[in-house]
Amino acid sequence: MGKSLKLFSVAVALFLVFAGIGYYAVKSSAYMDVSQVLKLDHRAKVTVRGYLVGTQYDAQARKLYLWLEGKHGEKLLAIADASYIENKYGPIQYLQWDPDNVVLQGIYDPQHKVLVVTDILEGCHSNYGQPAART
Amino acid sequence: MPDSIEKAGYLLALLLVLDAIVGSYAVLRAPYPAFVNLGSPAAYLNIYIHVPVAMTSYVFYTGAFIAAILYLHRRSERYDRYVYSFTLVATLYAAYTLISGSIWAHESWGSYWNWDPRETGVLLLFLAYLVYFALRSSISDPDRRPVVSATYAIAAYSMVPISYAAPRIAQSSLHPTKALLQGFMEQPEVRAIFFTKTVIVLLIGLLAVMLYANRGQLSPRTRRAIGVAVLSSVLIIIGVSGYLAIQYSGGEVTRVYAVFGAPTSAKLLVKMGHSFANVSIAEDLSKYVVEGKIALVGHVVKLVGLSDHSAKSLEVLVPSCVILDFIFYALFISGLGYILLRKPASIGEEYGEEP
Repeated sequence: MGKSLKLFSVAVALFLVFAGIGYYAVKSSAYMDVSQVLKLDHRAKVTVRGYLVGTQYDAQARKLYLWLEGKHGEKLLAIADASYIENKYGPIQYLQWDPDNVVLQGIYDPQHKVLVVTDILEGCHSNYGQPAART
Repeated sequence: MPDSIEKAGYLLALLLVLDAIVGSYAVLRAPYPAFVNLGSPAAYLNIYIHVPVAMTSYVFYTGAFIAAILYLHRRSERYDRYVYSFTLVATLYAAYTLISGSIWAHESWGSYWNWDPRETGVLLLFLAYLVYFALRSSISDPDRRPVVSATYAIAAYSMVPISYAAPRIAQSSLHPTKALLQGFMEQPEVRAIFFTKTVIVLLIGLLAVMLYANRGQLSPRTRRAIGVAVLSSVLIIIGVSGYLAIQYSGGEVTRVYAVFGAPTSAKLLVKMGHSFANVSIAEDLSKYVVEGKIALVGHVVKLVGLSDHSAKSLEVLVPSCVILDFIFYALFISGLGYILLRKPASIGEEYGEEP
């Protein structure tokens, strides 16, 4: 029994160590909030999540401007290449966003406080509230 | 006991074929959300393939955890066999979860791998349990091997609740929470197909664990029945995947970005080559109307009889991510069959010992 107890103690200790590592890894893989990105003082590759509060398309420059709002109301301007967006999502004027679940990956430029978008990811949360269809 | 093992073998054979039939029905006819923000709405058919396997892998890891506790408490070789068998089956399920999830993510989230908290959690879980096999096979002392590996199996289980709760822990995830899924899941047909598939996948895994832990007791006849069932299941899945892939031929395959006009005189904005174009459809599209709107945006479609920006008819296609996930499902079933039917060089090798 004594040997078993010792082994259980080792198992529980390891369990806690693994849980701690797992918790930290999962927690740190959370997408950054706008406020966290705006605090950066050096260029960095970031993945940021926020509420999409505005978009504007510059047809001449072929750029799409996206304004993301953080949890505390801070706003971040993100600039995406229109041809990349069209390739992935279709024509700019017909884009449909789930404003609550936009996740942008890109390089943050602290000097101009702008995010140069390299990838746009989107969650599927609102999709499950839709009526059903079939092929 | 041998009699119950034989019965379990036949039940597994039956369930494998039933699983392929239910899975085929799901990818051919099951409902999906009519309107989505990104990618094809029909990509959500993956709900019926990816999610049941992902959910049940947690159950098998829990089985391994309980068996490991029982082993350390009672030191019965039987529990050690169950720790190994549960972990083996669960890890196969987790591998399929990772592969099918990333194929679906490319279509519906925009990228194969997003370092989403749940993705990270499942990857950590998978890696933690791979270490279990490495650790077990590295110990040559037959008395120490089960003790050390059971202790490790208890520790590795910590990744299961972390992975499950990852979206809540991180408070930002592309994965939906259970509450967000509820609306879609409450629809009777969705519920019927999803829960039938989940129960079958769960039973297949539990029977596979039971049979793997008692492999030596399977008669050649039962082994043959399982082999035939695996082969039949794979053929059904490959046949249905092939049928879905063939639908891509015989017309112009493109994606719909917008729909204009009434169902009887609709125009679709689609991609033609490197540019976008409006194509009018002669066919009445009323059958695609959901809650007053033509639900075609995002779909991969085949335009039949296309000439000069007008097509006679269209067909909604099942997106390649669903077909690919279903083909990988055939590989997953083959893997399950392989681990059950493979003859170990020795009894010891069966549980990670060197021959």
